[in-house]
Amino acid sequence: MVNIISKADRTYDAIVIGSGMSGGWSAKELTEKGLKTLLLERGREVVHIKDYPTSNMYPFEFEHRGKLPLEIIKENPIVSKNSNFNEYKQHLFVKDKEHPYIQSEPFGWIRGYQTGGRSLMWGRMVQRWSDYDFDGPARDGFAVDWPIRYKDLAPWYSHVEKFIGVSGNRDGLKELPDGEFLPPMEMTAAEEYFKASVAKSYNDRHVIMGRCAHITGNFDFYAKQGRGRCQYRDLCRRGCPFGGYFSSNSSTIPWAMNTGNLTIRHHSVVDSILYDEEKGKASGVKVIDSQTMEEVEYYAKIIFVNAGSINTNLILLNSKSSRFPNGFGNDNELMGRYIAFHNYRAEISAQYDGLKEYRTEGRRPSNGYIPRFRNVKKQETDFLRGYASTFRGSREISSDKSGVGEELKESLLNPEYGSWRVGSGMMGETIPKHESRVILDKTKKDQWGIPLLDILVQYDDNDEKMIQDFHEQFTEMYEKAGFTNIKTRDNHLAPGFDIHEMGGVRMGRDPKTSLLNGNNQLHACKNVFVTDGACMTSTSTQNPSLTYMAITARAANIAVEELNKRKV
Amino acid sequence: MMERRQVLKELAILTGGIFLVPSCDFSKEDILKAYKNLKITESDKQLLDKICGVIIPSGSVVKGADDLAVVDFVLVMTNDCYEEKTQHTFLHGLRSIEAISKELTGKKLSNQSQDESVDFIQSVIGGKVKGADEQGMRDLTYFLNTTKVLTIEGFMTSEYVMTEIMPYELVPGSFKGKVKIQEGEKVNIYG
Repeated sequence: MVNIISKADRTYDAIVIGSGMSGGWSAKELTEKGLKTLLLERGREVVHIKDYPTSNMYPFEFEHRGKLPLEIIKENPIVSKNSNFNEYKQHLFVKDKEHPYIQSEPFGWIRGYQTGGRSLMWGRMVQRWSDYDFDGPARDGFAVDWPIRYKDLAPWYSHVEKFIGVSGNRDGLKELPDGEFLPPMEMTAAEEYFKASVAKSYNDRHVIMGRCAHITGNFDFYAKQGRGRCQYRDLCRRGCPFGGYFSSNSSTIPWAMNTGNLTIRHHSVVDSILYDEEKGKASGVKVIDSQTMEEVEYYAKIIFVNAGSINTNLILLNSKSSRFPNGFGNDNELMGRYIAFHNYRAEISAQYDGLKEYRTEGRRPSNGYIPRFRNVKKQETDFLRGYASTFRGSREISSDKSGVGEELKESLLNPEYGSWRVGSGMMGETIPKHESRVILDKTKKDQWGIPLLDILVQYDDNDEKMIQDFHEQFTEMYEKAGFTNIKTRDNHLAPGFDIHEMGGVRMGRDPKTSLLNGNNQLHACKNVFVTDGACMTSTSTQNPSLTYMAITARAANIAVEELNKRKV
Repeated sequence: MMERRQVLKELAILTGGIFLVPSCDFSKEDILKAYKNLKITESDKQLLDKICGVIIPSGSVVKGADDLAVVDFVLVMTNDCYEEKTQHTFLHGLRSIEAISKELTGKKLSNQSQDESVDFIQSVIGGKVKGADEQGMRDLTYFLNTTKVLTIEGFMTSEYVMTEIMPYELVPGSFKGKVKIQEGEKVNIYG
C-alpha cells in the first residue's frame, strides 16, 4: 500500500467516480455548492479541443477513408460491431483487450475510458420522460414502483437543459413533455411530408424533430462555457472543436474546474468503496493507479458513483466488508439484478418519390423522432410497454457506375438526385428481470486484480413481439405515406449494442426490493449516491442521458442539503 | 548514393507514392514494404496504376485516377482491409491480366489502347468472355471488380475531387431541409 501523500491531502468533501455524462454533472453541482471534490477517471486525460486529433480532418486525410484495418477488427470482435468504432474515432473506444469481461450471454459492452467517458461519443438525443414512463412498472406489474415521478424531476430537467443547450420544438405532447428549448433544427422535405401524413392517419402518433443537445441559440449564455453554435458538420463523435454539442469535456468539467473546488485524477481504476464500521458510513474509495499499479485510498464525506451502469455494479459488488459481505449496500442480494437495456434491433427503410424538386443543404447531426405510441395510456397489445423511433428522410444522390473509362468518369462527375431515402430505427423498452444480471467471476481477474464481470442478459419473448409490431406498424405508416420499396430488417445485434445498459442498483421505495431510495442514496448507507444508469428502475424508450443528468443534478443538490443538515 | 536515396524517399512521401526506395541491387524485384501483406512488386503496381487509369482516365479538364495516384489507395485498402485469401485472389487476378488479355484480344493489356482496354475490362466484368483457365478468369473478374470499386472510391474521395471538383465543406455552418433545386444546378454529392 503506497499512500505516501498524507491522509489529510487525500481527503475531500466529495468523491465522484467517473467523469462521463453523469459524473461531470455530479462534479459541477457539488463544486458549485462549495464542496472540495475529487473526480476519479479510470482512463486517460482528453482535454476539450486539444485532444480531438481527428476533429478537423477532411475525409481524404484518413488513409482508409474511415474503415479500419482488418487486423484491428479481428483484435476487437466486440467493439467492432459498433458502427462508430471506425478510423475517425476508434481512439475514443475501449478495445476488447483493455478491459475484458465474460459474456455468459452475448452482450456488447461499449465503453469510453477517458475524461468525459461516453459523453464524447453519445447520440445527443435528449427526450424527457413523462409520468407514462415513470408509472410503467407499477401499472404493468414488473420491477418495482419508481420512487419519483415527473414532478420531482421536471425542475431538474429544466436545470440541465438550460445548461447543456437543447434544440427542439415545443410539440405539446403529454407523452414527451416540452423542455427549455433552443430553436429547432429543420426537418427535411420528406420528413415534413411524413409528419403530415402520420398526423392525417393517426391521432396518437406524432413525428417531431428530435430534441438534441446542440447549441442553436442563446449564444452569449453558452459563450460563458466557451462553447459556440452547432456548425452542422455531423462529425460530432470525433469531439467538437466548437463545443457545439454537450459533453462533460466541453461543459461540466471545465465549469467545475473554474470553481477552484475540483481535482481530477486520471488513470484511477476504483477497486472498491471503503466502509467505516464504527460510523456506519462509507469513508472513501480504494483506487488502483492503472499506470503505476499503486493502490491509493481517498476519503470523503459523500461518494457519488457514476462509473457507467455496469462498472458501477462492478465497483459496488467488489466492495466487500464484514457489514456488506455481498457487495456495498447489497443487503437484499438484488444488486446486479434487473439489468435492462434498449432494444435497437428493428429497422425499416423505404423510398419516397414525391417532392423531387427539393434537396437539403448542410449536414444535420440529428433525426426526426416518433415518441412511443403503443400502450401509452392503457395496455393494448400482447406485449408490455412499447418503442419510440427515429425517422430520417434524405435525398439520394447517385451516379450510374456500370461503365468503365470515359463513360464512368462522366457519370461520376455528373451525379443525379434520386428518390428520398427514408428510414426508422426502433428504440424499444425492455423489461428488467430478476435473471438479467451481472455477477463477479469467482476466479478470473483483470489487469488490476479486480474480478471480471460476467454479463447474463438476454432478449425475451416480449422483445420479439415488439420487433414484429414495430415492423408491422411502420410498414403500415410507410404504406399510408405512399413510400415504396419498403424493407424491414432485424439486425440481430446482441443486447448492449444500444449502449443504454441500465439497472442493477435500482431505485425504489422499499429497502427489501430496491437498492437506492428516492434520493439515489443506498438504502443501507446514506452517504453513497448512485446516479448513473445503474439506478434505473425501468428503461422506458427515451435516450437515457438527459434523465441520468437530471437525476444526478437533483441528487447532488439533495446531498449538499443533507450534508449541511449533517444528515449524511 | 545516399543523397539520391534520401531525395527519392522525400519525393515519395511528398507525392504519397512509393515508400520503397530501390537499393543498389536492381537485379531482383523487391516486395513493396508499404504493402507487405499483399506482397506486391513495383511492376505489379505500375500495371495496376495503368488499370486504374483505364477505369477513370485522365482528361483535358478533369484529372483521372492515374494522375491522382489512386493506385496507392487501391493498394492500401487491399493490403490493410482485406482477408488474406481475397488478397491472393486479387494478386492472382492482377498477375494474370496480361496473359488473359493476350489470349482473348491478341494483345497484352499494357500494349492496348485506352479503348481496347475499356472493351476488354467491360467484357470480363460483364462475363461476356471465356478464357481457357476458368479459375484464372474468376480471379481476374474478382480483381477487376474490386479494383473498379476501389478506384471509384479513391477518385471520388481524393483531395482533388473533394476540394476542386465537388467541394466538401468541413464547416457547413447551417442546415436547410427544403431547398428548391434550380434548373441546371450542378449536383454535388458532398453538398
